[in-house]
Amino acid sequence: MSKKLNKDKKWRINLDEPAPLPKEQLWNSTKTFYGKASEILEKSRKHELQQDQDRIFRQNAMCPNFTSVLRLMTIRDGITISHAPVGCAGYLNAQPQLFQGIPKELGRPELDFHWLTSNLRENDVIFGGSEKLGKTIKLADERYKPRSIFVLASCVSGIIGDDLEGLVREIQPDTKATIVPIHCEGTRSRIWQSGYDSVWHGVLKYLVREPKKTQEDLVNIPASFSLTWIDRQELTRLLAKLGLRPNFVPELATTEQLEILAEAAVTAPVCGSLGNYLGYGLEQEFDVPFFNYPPPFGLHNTESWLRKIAEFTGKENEVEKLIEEERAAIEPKLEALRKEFKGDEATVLDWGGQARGLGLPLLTHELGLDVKGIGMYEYDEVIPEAVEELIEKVGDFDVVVADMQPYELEQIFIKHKPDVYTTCPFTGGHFKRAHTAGVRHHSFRGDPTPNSPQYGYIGLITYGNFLLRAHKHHTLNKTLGTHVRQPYKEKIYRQHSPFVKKEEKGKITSLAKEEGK
Amino acid sequence: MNNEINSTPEFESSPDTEYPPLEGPRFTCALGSAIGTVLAIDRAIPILHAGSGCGFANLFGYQYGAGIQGVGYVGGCATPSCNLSQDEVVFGGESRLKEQIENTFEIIDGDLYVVLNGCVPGLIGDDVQAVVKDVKSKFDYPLIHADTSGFKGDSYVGYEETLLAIVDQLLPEKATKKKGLVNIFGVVPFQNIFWKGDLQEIKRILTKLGLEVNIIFGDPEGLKTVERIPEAEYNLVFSPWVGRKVVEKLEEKYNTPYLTFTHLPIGGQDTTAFIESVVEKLDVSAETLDRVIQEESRDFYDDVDNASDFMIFAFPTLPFAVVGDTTYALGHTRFLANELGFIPSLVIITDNPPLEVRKTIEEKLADVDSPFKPKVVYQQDSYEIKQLVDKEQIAVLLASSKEKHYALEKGLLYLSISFPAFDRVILRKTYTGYKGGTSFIEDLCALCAGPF
Amino acid sequence: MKKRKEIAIYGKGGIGKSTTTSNISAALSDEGYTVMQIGCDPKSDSTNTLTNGKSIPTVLETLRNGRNVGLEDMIHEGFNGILCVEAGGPEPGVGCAGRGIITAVEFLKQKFVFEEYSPDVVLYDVLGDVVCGGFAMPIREGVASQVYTVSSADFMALYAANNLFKGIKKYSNNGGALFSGIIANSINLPIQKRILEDFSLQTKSTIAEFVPRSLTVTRSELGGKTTIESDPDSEQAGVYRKLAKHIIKNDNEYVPSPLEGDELKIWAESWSDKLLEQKETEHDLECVVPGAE
Repeated sequence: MSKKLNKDKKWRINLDEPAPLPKEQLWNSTKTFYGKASEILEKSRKHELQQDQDRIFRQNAMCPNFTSVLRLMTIRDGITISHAPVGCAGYLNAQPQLFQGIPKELGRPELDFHWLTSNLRENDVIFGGSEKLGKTIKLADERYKPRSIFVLASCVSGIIGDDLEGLVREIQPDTKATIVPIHCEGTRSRIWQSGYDSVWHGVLKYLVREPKKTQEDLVNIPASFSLTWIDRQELTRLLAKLGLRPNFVPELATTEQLEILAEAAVTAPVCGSLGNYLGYGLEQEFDVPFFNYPPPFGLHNTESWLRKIAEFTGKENEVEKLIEEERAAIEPKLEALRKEFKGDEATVLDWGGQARGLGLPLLTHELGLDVKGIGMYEYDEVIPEAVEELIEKVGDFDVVVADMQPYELEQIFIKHKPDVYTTCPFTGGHFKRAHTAGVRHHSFRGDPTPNSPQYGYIGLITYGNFLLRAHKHHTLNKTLGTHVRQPYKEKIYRQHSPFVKKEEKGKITSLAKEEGK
Repeated sequence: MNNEINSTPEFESSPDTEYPPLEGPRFTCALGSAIGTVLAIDRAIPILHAGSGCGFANLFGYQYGAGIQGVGYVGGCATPSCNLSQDEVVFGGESRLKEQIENTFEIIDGDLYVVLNGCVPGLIGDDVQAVVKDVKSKFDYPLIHADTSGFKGDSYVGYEETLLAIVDQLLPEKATKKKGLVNIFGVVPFQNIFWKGDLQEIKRILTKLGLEVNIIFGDPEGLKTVERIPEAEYNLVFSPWVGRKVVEKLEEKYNTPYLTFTHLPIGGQDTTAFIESVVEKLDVSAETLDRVIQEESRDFYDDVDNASDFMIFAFPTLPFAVVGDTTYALGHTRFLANELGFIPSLVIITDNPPLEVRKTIEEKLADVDSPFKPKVVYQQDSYEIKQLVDKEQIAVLLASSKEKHYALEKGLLYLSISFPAFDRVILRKTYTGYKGGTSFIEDLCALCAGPF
Repeated sequence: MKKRKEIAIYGKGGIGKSTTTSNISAALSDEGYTVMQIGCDPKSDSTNTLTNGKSIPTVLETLRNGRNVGLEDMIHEGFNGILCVEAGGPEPGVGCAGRGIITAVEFLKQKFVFEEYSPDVVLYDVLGDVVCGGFAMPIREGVASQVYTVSSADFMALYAANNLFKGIKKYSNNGGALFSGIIANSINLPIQKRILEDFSLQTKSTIAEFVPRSLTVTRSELGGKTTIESDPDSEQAGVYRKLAKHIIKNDNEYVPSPLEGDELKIWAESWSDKLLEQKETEHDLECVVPGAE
């Protein structure tokens, strides 16, 4: 039985159970919203966000299994096992290429990642896959003697009902590595970010140990894979100036870094979608303090982030000195950027995860840009205060919540026609048809190049310059916009909302009818 | 040298029906490969009846694994998908599929729509065929369905199932033959990472001989090429076993004979042998044949000549190993050994060919122009592959990007030639044929090129 | 705090497991226990006789439709304050009922259902051929700790019981639930009793109670009630009370020995011969001929 009750009972998590609730049930999260920021705020306060509308046309998105693969593939002394047919986790084959671009001088650790699959086929589906999974675990344990083995459940293992906990109980005594079953079945949740919660659930349940001592200078940072190498260095640098150390997890972490999570002084966020479950879990089970907002993205947010950490670590005086120094160092560069943007009245449309989705309006505001709208892949009702504060500072703006869904992005884009469009490269190639300054929304994990950071002070200036260059010069986008074929039929541009009310579902046979064709 | 298989072995059993656990398998599931196969037909639209992550996992794991190939017209997150979640698992997904197909017709502009189902409908037993039939009766779009539950098999199964669905559900019962028209099969888009360039080079060479070549995949004519399949005089298959089911089906339905080649030819020798064997069956004048061989060989061997200053210095009879699917493993081993002076040490074949064709494969490898015959191993497990490579005294490794870092650590010359290749961007690059031979020499030399 | 008793009651469809379970629930609540009955059958009518014959919204249906759903949307008070829950599931012939049970039970437990409602006894009423992983969910570690099966002397019912034993045997290595007894249902003839006694002997299992077939039960069910509620003084109600008392006290938990492979068939055939011999003398045996309902 969970030892303590979370202060907010609604978000209690139950570590006795094998799996967490899906996000839509735990945080009332949604992936279908189209409206003003003020509306999403009001709706989330009334708990009315969720599931009252649905898509009648959908395009590929991620799933909890894939997000878990992304999160766990770089545990340095762990092995990932995909308990699935081979297609689910093929991306793990990219492991040898990850982080290899980082020069040794920039601190690249020795890396040797591996993954296995139980390779489920027709027979396993009919007769059960547990036995084969047991063999797979044994192979991994013998070949690499890892500290931990993460077993990722899949749609198939979930539907045929393989009992992972039962298997673990049976074979753990003969296995050197700690086996951690992760319940990230692809169909577990409509919201792919639920996979993050599944990962943390497994980590909290099987790996995090009772703290032997508190490490007063240790700051847990649940880091997304969009936190680049230079970002990590920047956050490490800032914390070091306060006499603190980051514990970046799970990206590139060791098993021990996961085991000692309960010893940290505080858990600080980079992305709420990713980190909330761990933060609340550590707080509920081990009294590790946690704050869920803001990420260190943009000037104001970086400073709030640092101040909150300082509050929990008794560094209130040091932090003010740090902020003063850092501000003085970047002020001229920031001024120069503002000057460049001024007069252009550039507008921005942004697509990404929750952290940048809610962080970017303020960051661009600080640079003197006007944000027309933001898109987020999902929205939890956890942080209404943050949204409220954001609207106060930058004014109301459009919000879209969609899990990729490029044809919806297309319509929203056409409505706003922004000057700068920051986007994820995986939105079905939507950036290709943007005809405007479309740039990547962020870089990835092992990127060691000077253009990669977005967090902290260095990130603000780098990203500001990045947006400026994109705004002034975008011939790749012009090339693509002019020459790339469009898969959508003309009529979609006349459509108003990509969603239908759930209760009307089934009555509507096609979108054409909806618009009264 | 003729690289056609003369006897046609029957496939009774697969060597490994146990399907053991695997470390880092070099193929995707039936669904992933079916998605790639449909996307490779211009303006063909896959509609996935699958979990929300299936398409995305295969974009990352399969298409990006094939030399970071982008989403194209309607790939990646642009692909329509039912995005099944627990509601549909528990209550059934048929109504969702119907809604999704109808709205795809409304929104996505395509010439052919192919419903591909993943594991979930395969497990909960959705009657996909019935839904497709129902929708088809109401709309005038070409719509077919392939059952590609991921657990049904690997990349090769997904490719074949998709083509079989096309033959069964789309193509007419009868067709008029067109003399000199050939279809190309056995090159699995994305699983063969250079698929597009390979097919286009085969097309270029055979077109030069006066044949009409239907490559289907990577051809801008899309659906038209699909519809032309029954008209072919011959089907050519570039694998001893992949695509066999398809050409057998076509033989049964349209009486089209087929020719099987063990591999895609690379360089002068194998390519010339390949076209000579094609010409045995198809009507090409001796004059044309001679002219084509002469022109192509001249260009190719000029290139070899120009590269030789560097090659003679940089590649002093180096021993090498190849890791890859049958077609690339054979092609590269033979080219390097027979024409470029490298010593064949080890060939690891990763596509688990049926036992019946293994003898033929081994003969092709034993037949190299060298007293040194390579060791041939069939292995799909990445750990075992590393053990095998580690034991071998080699200087060059042609493999997948899974081998890259330990190869570089060992100081080997390394080039990605098989799936997965996460370390290069492949658009129209090919190592097939005469042009491919040149291109391969350039890339091999680039690994260590520098001033003397 | 006294230990909560979590019991799974399995039985082949139509064998009377919901009737039996509901009557146990009713009898236990009369004794002053707080009882929660969770129906794990896509038919979703396990608790009907506790709620005056009415159907209650199921967990899966509520999750499917609802926004911001909580336990209060799926837990409904029935007769005598019994907490009634239906997992729910798909229409026949579509979807995956097994996965539905996993999803529903996971949701309830993640929402701390037992902490919130503090039942003394939880009864899972499970459709019971244990055909796939989903239907085995209630006997995995951390869900029910004791299992009963409702079975008649019918061969198909015993086949289902034997399958259940196999499931229990499998999960017992991993801390799963253990068996506590067969509830022999619709037992009116001596030979039916003998068949069940022999089955329990062969499988090293015990019999919790013999419950006769009774018109009282049918009458009560037609009125949307349990026998305990509608005819509390009847003989049949007495049988259910006795059974309920036995179950609440019974701590005997063990791994039964299922008949493997052909053993079950051979055993059934041996009885089939005996039944045919007897049929020549008795005329009321159709219902116990193997394979008949």
